[in-house]
Amino acid sequence: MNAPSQDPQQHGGCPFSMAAPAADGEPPVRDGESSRDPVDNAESHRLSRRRLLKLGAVGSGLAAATAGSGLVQLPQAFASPLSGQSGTDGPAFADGASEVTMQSAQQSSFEGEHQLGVLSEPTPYTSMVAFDVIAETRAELRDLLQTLTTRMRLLYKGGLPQDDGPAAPADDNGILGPSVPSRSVAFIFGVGASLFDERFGLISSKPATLITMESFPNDNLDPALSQGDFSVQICANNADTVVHALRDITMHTRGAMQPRWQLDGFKSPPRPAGTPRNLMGFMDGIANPDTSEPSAMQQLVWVPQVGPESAWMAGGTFQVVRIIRMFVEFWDRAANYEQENIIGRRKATGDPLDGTNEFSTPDYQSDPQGLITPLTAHIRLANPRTTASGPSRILRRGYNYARGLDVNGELDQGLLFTCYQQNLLNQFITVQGRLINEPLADFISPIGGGYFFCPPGLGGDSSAYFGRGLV
Amino acid sequence: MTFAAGGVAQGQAQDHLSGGTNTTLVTVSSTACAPGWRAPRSGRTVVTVENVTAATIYEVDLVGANQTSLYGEIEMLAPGTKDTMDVVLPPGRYSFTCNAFSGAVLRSAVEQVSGPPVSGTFSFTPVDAHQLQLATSAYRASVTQWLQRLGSATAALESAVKSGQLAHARQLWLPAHLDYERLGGAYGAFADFNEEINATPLSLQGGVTSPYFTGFFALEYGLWGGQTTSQLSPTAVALDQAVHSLIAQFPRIALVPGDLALSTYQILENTLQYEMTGETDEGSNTNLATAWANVEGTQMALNALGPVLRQSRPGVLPRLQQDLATMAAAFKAYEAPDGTWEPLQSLTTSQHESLDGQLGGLLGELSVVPELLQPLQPATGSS
Repeated sequence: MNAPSQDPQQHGGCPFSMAAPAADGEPPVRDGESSRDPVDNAESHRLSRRRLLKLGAVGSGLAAATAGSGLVQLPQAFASPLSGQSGTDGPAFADGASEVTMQSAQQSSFEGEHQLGVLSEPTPYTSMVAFDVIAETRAELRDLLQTLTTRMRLLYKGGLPQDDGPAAPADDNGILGPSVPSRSVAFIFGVGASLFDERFGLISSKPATLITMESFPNDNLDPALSQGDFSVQICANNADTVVHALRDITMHTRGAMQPRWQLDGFKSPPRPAGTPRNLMGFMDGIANPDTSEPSAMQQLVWVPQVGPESAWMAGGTFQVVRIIRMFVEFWDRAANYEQENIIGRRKATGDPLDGTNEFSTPDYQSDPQGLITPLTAHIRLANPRTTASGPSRILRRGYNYARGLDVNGELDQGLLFTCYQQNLLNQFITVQGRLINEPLADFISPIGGGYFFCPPGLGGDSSAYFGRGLV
Repeated sequence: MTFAAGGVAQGQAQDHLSGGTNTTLVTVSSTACAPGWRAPRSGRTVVTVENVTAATIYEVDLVGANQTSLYGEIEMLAPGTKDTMDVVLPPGRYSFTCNAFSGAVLRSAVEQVSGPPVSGTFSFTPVDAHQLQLATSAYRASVTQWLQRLGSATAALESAVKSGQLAHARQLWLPAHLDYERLGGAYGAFADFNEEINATPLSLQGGVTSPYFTGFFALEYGLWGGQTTSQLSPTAVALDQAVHSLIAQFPRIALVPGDLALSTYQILENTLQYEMTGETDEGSNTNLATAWANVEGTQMALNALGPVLRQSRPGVLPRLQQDLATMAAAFKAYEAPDGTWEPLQSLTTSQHESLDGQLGGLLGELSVVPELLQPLQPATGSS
């Protein structure tokens, strides 16, 4: 059962108080307030669809995948570069004329200071895939990290795939034709807390602030969609480019790591302009930190040189993945004004409820009672715009997903939420703590995801590999 | 809004509906409500309302000349902002009503909308707050009756468990649970009692191993999951105690009319999400029975609200009652003469589809009920 709302536009006051005498139909009266004041007038006619019934959940299911034993016989092709042409570092992008560049706001090189994908603009298509490492030794883990990095580099640079001769299967799956387009894909690679166990002697190397994602009060995490030793996110402007890269990576790493779960996502185009919309029909991601501001990124996203973490992690970032199912039929049955009060923005325009355009800064200080923007509105809880809440801001990179049907024919749609920050506890976990029991919680159900550390970039070294500070 | 923009060419759908969409801009302030507004032609109109004052306007309504039919509504319009109301107006006389921050109610001039008759109009009559209170009291009376029955049922269940009669306890579990599953319109008011009596393990950290896993579902889990009656005895005792505490407290627990109105569709939203997926099953395979009880619980809430709903929008109630009866019968068909129920998993695809689809369609109809049950604003002045 949700805690009583503090929002006067919801039911207000403490409607479920055991101490209250039964007075059916009388709006609850708060201390020091007359029941006839405007606040209570608002309460009396503002119906909220907060779900007041039993809590439930998307079922748990399969047992967690276990890291089995498996001989690691990495194929020769592992370390072999694509032969022939390869792209040169630079902003050019060649996956079709309609493509946008894969460079990020601050970096265009695969071998830069940071992983290229983190600050890249979200692409129309993505796959988030978690893997468990089944390699058994530290040396094999190192080989795996080198192979992964090599494949990502080759896939990014493109060119003619290596020819292993007529007797061997082709090195490339051919989905993108005989020559792989250059700069058509971006990756974000992360390692989960589960990697740091006795298997590879990494217990003492675990990042100090990396933890396993635990269930928040309204979560219903399905082990079959949660956690993992690695996360690999593949972003591209075409669905086949994503599939090509995933096939390439799994082909060259079978035996060393095993896919654990996968979720495909898409980014909607602006409708009709401005920030893209999520599948609740609201613009999502409007108030993101500016990725073209290096100082903001240093403050919020990148792990600093000095702090709780080891020096090798500097320039990396912590990744949160949350698979958030939306009960879209239920949502579509809620009135527009109520949706707007739950989110805190106008649905049509993205304007905050006290603003005149999408990027207006809400003035919550002038609305302490939440008469304009309910105190429990999603955007107000997530980012209260106070001095104290500034450092908890996160860089969000949400994608929509639509993955078919539930067992009762309800549409299984939602948000593949990812965000980046330099500290999980001070940022995402703090923000999420403010969202517990928000009215929006009735319409969504977080069903999976995990926390990962994305190692820093390759620092200009074309032979370096991700996670080299680790093994 | 009832227009159906079925195809990809949305503009055409609008044209088909009302011969084109008008747009009108009106301003509101602390001292003037839509001054100088000009009536559009009949049909669909998107009215943009701009608050040109430095204070919030609490509510702007577009009302018919009878001052009771409400065609469009905007609430909490911040200073300097705009919002829209999308309305279909038949020919007639209309005015705006504005509730200012000061509490004053301002009215605009009455203007004449002319033009051909239109279809697709949506209006409703805000209901009288006193009548809502009467409805809530009527609901309280029926909940009180069912709570008495529930108390007897959990007492009998407790005694069967305590005396070691496992098979009998299984038989008594379902009717007791169904007595509770009819009371969804009051779960919000039950608050912590609801957690003790009917929490599912799905939302608990640790699931069925959580120390907070109590009540009907914990008992179900044990009765069908191989626990002994002596193991289950504390759970059965605690359930009966919780129910009797609730019975004792209920006269002092306030029911919120808005919650009752919302329950008319939310009970069945839960049914679709948690019963028709089998997620709440802890071994008794009685999701379909629960679904049936949930429909009856919806009927209970709707019957209490019936008189108010008739006032708000005549004609809605009989159709809802008929469709709820059809839905109840569709679930009830899966009860055998001996009182056992068909497991959800045994349904054929077409049986499952039929129930899911009926339920989804019914929810679409029910979702308008909370809107229709908004109380009338007190009218204390005019401009």
